[in-house]
Amino acid sequence: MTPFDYHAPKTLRSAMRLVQEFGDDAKVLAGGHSLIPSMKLRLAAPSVVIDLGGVAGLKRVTAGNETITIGALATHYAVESHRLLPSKCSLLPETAAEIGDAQVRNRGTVGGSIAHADPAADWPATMLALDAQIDIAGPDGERAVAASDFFVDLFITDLQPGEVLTGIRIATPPENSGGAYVKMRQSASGFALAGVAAHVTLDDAGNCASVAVGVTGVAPAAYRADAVEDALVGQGIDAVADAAAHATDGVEEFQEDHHASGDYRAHLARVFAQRALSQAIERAA
Amino acid sequence: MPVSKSVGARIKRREDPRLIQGLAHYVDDIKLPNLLHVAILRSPYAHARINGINTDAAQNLSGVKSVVTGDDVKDVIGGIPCAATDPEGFPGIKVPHHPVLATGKVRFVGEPIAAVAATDAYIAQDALDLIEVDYEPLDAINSADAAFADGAPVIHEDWDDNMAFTWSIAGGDVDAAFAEADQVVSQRIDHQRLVPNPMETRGVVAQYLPGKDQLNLWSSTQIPHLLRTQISVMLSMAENHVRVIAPEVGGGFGCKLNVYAEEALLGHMAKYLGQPVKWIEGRRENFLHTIHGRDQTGDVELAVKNDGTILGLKYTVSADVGAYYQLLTPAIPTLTGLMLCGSYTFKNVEMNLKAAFTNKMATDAYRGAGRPEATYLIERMIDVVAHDLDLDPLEVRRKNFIGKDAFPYETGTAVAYDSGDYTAALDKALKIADYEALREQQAELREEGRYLGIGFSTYVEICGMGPSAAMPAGGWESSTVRVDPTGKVTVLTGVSPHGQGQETTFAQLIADGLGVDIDDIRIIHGDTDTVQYGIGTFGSRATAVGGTAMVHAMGKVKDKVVDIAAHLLESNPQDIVIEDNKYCVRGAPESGLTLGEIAMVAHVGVELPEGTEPGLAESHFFEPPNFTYPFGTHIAVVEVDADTGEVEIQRYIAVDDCGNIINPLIVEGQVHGGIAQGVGQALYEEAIYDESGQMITGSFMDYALPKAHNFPRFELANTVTPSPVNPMGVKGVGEAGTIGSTPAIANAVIDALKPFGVRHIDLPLRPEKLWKLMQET
Amino acid sequence: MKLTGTHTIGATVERAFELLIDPEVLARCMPGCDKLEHRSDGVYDMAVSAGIGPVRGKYTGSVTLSDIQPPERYTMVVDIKGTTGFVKGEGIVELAPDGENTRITFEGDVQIGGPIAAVGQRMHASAARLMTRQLFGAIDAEARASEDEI
Ligand SMILES: Cc1cc2nc3c(=O)[nH]c(=O)nc-3n(C[C@H](O)[C@H](O)[C@H](O)COP(=O)(O)OP(=O)(O)OC[C@H]3O[C@@H](n4cnc5c(N)ncnc54)[C@H](O)[C@@H]3O)c2cc1C
Repeated sequence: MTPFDYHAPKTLRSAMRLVQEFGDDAKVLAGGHSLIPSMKLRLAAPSVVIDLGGVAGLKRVTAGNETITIGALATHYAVESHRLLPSKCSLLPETAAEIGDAQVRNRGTVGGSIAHADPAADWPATMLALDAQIDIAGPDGERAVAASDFFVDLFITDLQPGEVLTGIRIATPPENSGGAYVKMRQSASGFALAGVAAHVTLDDAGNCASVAVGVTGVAPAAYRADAVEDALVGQGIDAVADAAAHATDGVEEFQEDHHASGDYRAHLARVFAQRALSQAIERAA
Repeated sequence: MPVSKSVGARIKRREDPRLIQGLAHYVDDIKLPNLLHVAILRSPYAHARINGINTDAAQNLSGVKSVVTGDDVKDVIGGIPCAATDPEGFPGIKVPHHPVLATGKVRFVGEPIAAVAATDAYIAQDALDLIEVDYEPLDAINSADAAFADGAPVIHEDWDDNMAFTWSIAGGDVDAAFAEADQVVSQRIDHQRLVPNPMETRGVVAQYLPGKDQLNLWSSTQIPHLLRTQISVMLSMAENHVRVIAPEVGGGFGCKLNVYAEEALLGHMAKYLGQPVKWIEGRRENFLHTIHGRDQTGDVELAVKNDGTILGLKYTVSADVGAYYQLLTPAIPTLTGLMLCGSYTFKNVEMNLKAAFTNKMATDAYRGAGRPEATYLIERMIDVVAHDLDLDPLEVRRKNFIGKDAFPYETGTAVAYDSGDYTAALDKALKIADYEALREQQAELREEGRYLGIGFSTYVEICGMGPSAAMPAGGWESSTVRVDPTGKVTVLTGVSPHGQGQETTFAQLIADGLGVDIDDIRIIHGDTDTVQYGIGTFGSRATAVGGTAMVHAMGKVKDKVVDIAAHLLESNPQDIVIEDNKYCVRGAPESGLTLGEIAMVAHVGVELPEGTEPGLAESHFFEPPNFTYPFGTHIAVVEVDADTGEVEIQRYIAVDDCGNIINPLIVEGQVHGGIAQGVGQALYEEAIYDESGQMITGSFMDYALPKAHNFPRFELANTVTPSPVNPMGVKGVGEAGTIGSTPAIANAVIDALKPFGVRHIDLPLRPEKLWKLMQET
Repeated sequence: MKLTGTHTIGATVERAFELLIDPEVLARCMPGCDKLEHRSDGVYDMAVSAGIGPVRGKYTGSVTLSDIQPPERYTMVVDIKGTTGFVKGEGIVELAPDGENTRITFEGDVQIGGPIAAVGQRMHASAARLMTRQLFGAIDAEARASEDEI
């Protein structure tokens, strides 16, 4: 085994110091559900592992009237089981419940999933649909990036060397809004063959004042389906079918493998966009 | 007659507390002093010449004790055996030498090339990275068609093509049947390659005791005795100096009914290094180098009358058996041949098989072993016939069923079905399903653009593997039943259960038979130094054959117990009965004796009837007169999502007839797991090798096993048609669920897509395939 | 596995071709390239530390450029291996003018073996495309930068 040094900092400050010190040789460890399998398979062999599990304050999930915050180290289960989230933003626990199984949800973290940016992970779709802000700490202090700027390419995010994702912030959705996440599980891994998260806020007439749609599993990185959004803003549920047909507009490259072709994934994205939007609108009403 | 208390009761498995609490001992739990850990270097190429191997750097790594290559062992370890190579059965069979470590050439990804023994498993693994192999890649073959193509690279250069063997079976007059037919219904049918995937991968620990010249070999195997015989041959050791122990075995599904390279290799290394060695197979290794199942593709033709009567069947099939044979590789498709007639009366039948060497892992016995192929084929074809003739698939089945009065019934393939009542099982399943209502619901939903499908499988299978005359490596079984002086009963059984629950069912039989508390009974298996020679657990045989051997041994014990009791009670053996676990004179229970009291007398040896040997232990070797033939009806109700092609199993009804039932809970458990595995084949599983011979489904990220959330609550029931083949009237239920379920699901899905004109779809029924078919119309 | 794609390079066909077969440029632009040394006619020894997402490994081997027909087409063969497996790719790269730019089309076949083949199949196609995207993207940047210098 390639030996590695293991560090378990207690504060974000010392974590950041270690991250700067070891640079590219280091990997930060969250739930370990992606990192450790790669290390066991010897497909990754960092010489330093910095475990964020003991860093104070990174596990918290709060749901206020203005803002929902999810610490980078919060587990999927922490979101799934949060007391207030079902009423404040049901899309979050609904997405969490779609991930893996109970063991995975008890161990895997939201921050780890987003930082890892697996093209088939579930969270990126929902973070895009909720217009989440990703909080990042780095050598020069802190910054925040919108989810729509965060997922760049296959396993590539806007995180730069030396940076650590610290949390996610979401504006608490207003009363007349709703969300839904619809996914088909890849039959082996359970990740999304295609997954669409939709979030809408309705105006007094019951039309969509704002629409956001995130799509995962389909392209090298999760993306916002802008064309769907544009087509639906100002419209009601009757316009959903036509709008959803734009779910893959602008996608140049589709994920494909023996589980599903690119065409099929694209088709699923359109079907699920329609389903997620219809549900979201129903829930908002 | 003593009232049976135990047999037939839903007794929880006695094995489970230790399994659930983590108290069981698997191979990896064997810890020995000075244990070395072995890692195996495996070929990353499907087909390549090895021009050189340099192990210097690996040898020099600190902690590495030894590195062995094919050249080091080729003269001291014999080839990996295959028990089914008789040229009379398989005309022209080519039997390639199958080395434990490759020399000169590698023929599939995962083939072992070198082994490293080191002080810990990590160092052993590190050392693998330091071994340099000079490969010269060759073109690879990933299917039987490619193997038979003109100009295909030859995998075994001792011959000039890749034809491994041929096999045929014929019965009746096929030509006449086809001449008489109103129509010939044909379809190409594929049985995809599957990975058995037991929860525990394989593993071996070997220890050599030089003072006794004894090799102790712990292996996660289904066949400890057969393994011992083969290992003694491979290592040129006296068989009585080899002890094989199958400790707790975490599932096998047939893949541990085998003799593998690592078993002989570790045995050799323990002796040669003078230190015990351990190898635990990783999941990735398991995917690549533990046998696979199925992988046959063939053309089926059925000669039929317009009324749905089937007159005959022809099956022309290619099997992709991989690069080498494992223990039973060639025998598996022959089981398909035997069962081609299914539960139907036609006797004109012919199967011609060509088997190809390819650059893949060997195929061999995987749950059902040859019979799922037969059942899927005939049950699928019944629905194709119904489709083509515009008949109800149920009517086609009923029209062709073998009647319940026809048993014993000799089929066109010359096997004799023991007993059956196929209509009864079907009727019972239909009643549970409320079939008429389902069809109405289907019609209503179709109006709404929703696609419900109802699928049947009215299967019959062959199991209770024996008799010996029909088996490649013995079909009998053995048992010894001992009563200790204090009345505790110890059973030694030659079968080697690994999840089937025989520690419970066998104890139930003894409890009733000998009048003893179930907690006073211990079932011992799996250790060749303790247990008399036996064949093992596979082919749903453990109870029908092994249980029968035990019941006979128990009978001998009981006769002696009764004789002693009669002597002590001053009565006649005919008048002794068991009441409340006491042996007493009929009508006088108050003066009865317990088994323990009688056993003590037997061991003290002074109060025995004249001429009676002291002690209380008897053995029996049972040779079954015939196979057993369980059957049943499975009904699947599925809905296919018209927008996505996703299949949801809404209901699953299974009426199985496995003869008499010793423990309904265990039977249900076997059926549950069996259905899940068969559904796995229908909907999810497929081992795929790409064109360069790489296995691209080599982990659970890509090889899809069925999961609990894929299933509704199963609706199970039984009919009971005892088998005349053994005194308990049991048949076997280890594989029935797997055999019955695949076609039920396939037929249901295809039934759902009937409005789209779909006639047949190859497995697995992935959503994309179904969606595409729905798009095409 | 078949691999096809098109990219645009901000330079004339002649200039793009020069860049594409210039070993120094390739060394700079090939993702993770640690070394690219000329061995013999058109054959270069290569070492790369490549990684995508969870997989990271060092690979050594060769790149061969052959059938060079400036400025229209050439054949490129990459043959590298490391402890996580091996990659062998062969493809034809074609250049055609596209206004002031050059349109690159490639068509090839990639074989992936060893551990990365068994566990990473769902990523093969997209990873290969990502790497070609990175390669041609970097060459494009190089072309545009050298344009600025002129
Ligand atoms: C059996 C199984 C099934 C699964 N099913 C699903 C599923 O259905 N859907 C799904 O979306 N996911 C699924 N997952 C993934 C799981 O949800 C994990 O969340 C995900 O693997 C990453 O989270 P982690 O906390 O385990 O991260 P780790 O494995 O610890 O880290 C992953 C990567 O992110 C980096 N990283 C982690 N945290 C940070 C941080 N704060 N800042 C910067 N970099 C960081 C690490 O260095 C590493 O490179 C599954 C995983 C398993 C094992």
